[in-house]
Amino acid sequence: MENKIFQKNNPKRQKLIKPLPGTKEAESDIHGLVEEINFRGVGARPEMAQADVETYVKNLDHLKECLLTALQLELSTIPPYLCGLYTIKEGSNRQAGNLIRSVVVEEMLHMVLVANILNAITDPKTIEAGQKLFNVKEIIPDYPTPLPGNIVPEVPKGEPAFKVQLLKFSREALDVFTTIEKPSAPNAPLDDPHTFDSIGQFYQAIRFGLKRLNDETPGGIFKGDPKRQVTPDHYYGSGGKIIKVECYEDAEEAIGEIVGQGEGIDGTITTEQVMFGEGIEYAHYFKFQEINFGRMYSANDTNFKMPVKSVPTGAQFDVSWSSVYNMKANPKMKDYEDDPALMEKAIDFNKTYVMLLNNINDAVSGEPELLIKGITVMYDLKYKALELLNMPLGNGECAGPTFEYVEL
Amino acid sequence: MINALTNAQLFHKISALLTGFSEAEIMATGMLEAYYNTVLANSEGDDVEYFFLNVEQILYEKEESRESAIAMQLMPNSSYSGLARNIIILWYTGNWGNNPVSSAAYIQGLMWDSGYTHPPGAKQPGYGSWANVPISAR
Repeated sequence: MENKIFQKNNPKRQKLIKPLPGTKEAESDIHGLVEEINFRGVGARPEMAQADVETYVKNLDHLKECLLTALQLELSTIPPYLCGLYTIKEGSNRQAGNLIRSVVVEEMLHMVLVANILNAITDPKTIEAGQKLFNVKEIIPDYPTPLPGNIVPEVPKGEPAFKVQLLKFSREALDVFTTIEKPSAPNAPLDDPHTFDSIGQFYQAIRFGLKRLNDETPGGIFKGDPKRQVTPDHYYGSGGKIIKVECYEDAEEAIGEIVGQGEGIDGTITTEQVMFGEGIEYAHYFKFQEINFGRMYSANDTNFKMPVKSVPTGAQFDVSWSSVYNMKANPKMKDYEDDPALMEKAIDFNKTYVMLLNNINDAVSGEPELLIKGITVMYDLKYKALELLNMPLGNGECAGPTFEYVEL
Repeated sequence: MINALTNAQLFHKISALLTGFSEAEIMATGMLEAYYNTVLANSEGDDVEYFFLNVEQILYEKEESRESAIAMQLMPNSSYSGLARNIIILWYTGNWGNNPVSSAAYIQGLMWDSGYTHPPGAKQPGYGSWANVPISAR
């Protein structure tokens, strides 16, 4: 389904996507209405934070490294969402399943957008023949994993540091999901200049780096080969818009898309600005809130402040926490060692997963037309996961996909 | 060695032998329990009891002689009212006789995998997939 709200000329677009600080939109936009909330209490200096974020990226190599981390970051969120989605039993939790599915396809879009930015700033002369954009074996995270990129979301006092986990569809899983997508407080300071408190803040650092290095470098840094860009022709069903990146403005738009879809806006929206109405695709954070409350947001839910206290008041839907495959948390192939049949299925799944990542890697390494062939593999991934979920472990739990690297 | 398997476990093992799919593949369909119950609900009690006794005997045989034992003892129409044949049809098509056991049974029919295809209306392989060699055939 074409997502109208993210079209460039859609007048509502900027209302939905938080303008990135330092852009024209941000200055002219709603930020005057935002009540600034200081998460870290008295003594924190918001203006310091912005300075840290602005100078985070050191040089072009560091920028490329950050973009590879961003790629890993986007990828690391997909398996947990897929586990949530796959463990929903057929015929139940339709609404919740649709919401999670829509997030997964957007995360895949984000991966492609990040790859486009990275390709846009990679001088083709520096690429060796046959060199791939990333290394599949190295990019696969080991769950449970902290968020890549030194992103350390705030957790309630006394709780262990946040880790991304592979869990069945459950309240715990939704906690993980919302923490991944949690917006940062406006101008949140960095406790430690090397950690970010949200994905959005990390992307801000990348954007500032892109801008600064592009301005400083004679001729700019956008010297990439346009043939390595993935364009809307190469994919369908991507949950948003694939942006071809050829200049700084394109990159800024792509980052706006990524951050906007993840966290959405923060701040107060006045009632005449329709926030959550029909046909509006809203940010992941709010989609997960909907599942948490078993209620859609309605057009009247307009009072958004950080931290988000607003409870959705729209149509109710059923959420069943029991119509779910009782998947073992964070399964590993090692757990299946004693059962050759199970191991065989786990390897089968992981082979399909690696095949999918290889396909994406080939596509973003100069063969974008391959991307569409990956769709078959994406479907297959689901069927292979369901096969594992059908295999009991004997303790009341069932097996699950492990998303680990295997040799093909 | 096989020690006192339950009929349900025997059903799992003989299903693999009768269909040519592995025990893991049989289990991964998620249909094992449903099909075992289908067999019990639709067969004469005596047929079922003697069938599983026979299956147990066959499993004690050496691996290389199992195939002929199955062919001679289980496959004739006269054996246990054709139960073995019905079990094969059940796994491949999801039907008991002419009736689908359930919508899940239709989707999980082994015939789809065997033909490198998919159950129409379910398990779609994606637009344009017909232009490529099926993944499972690679």
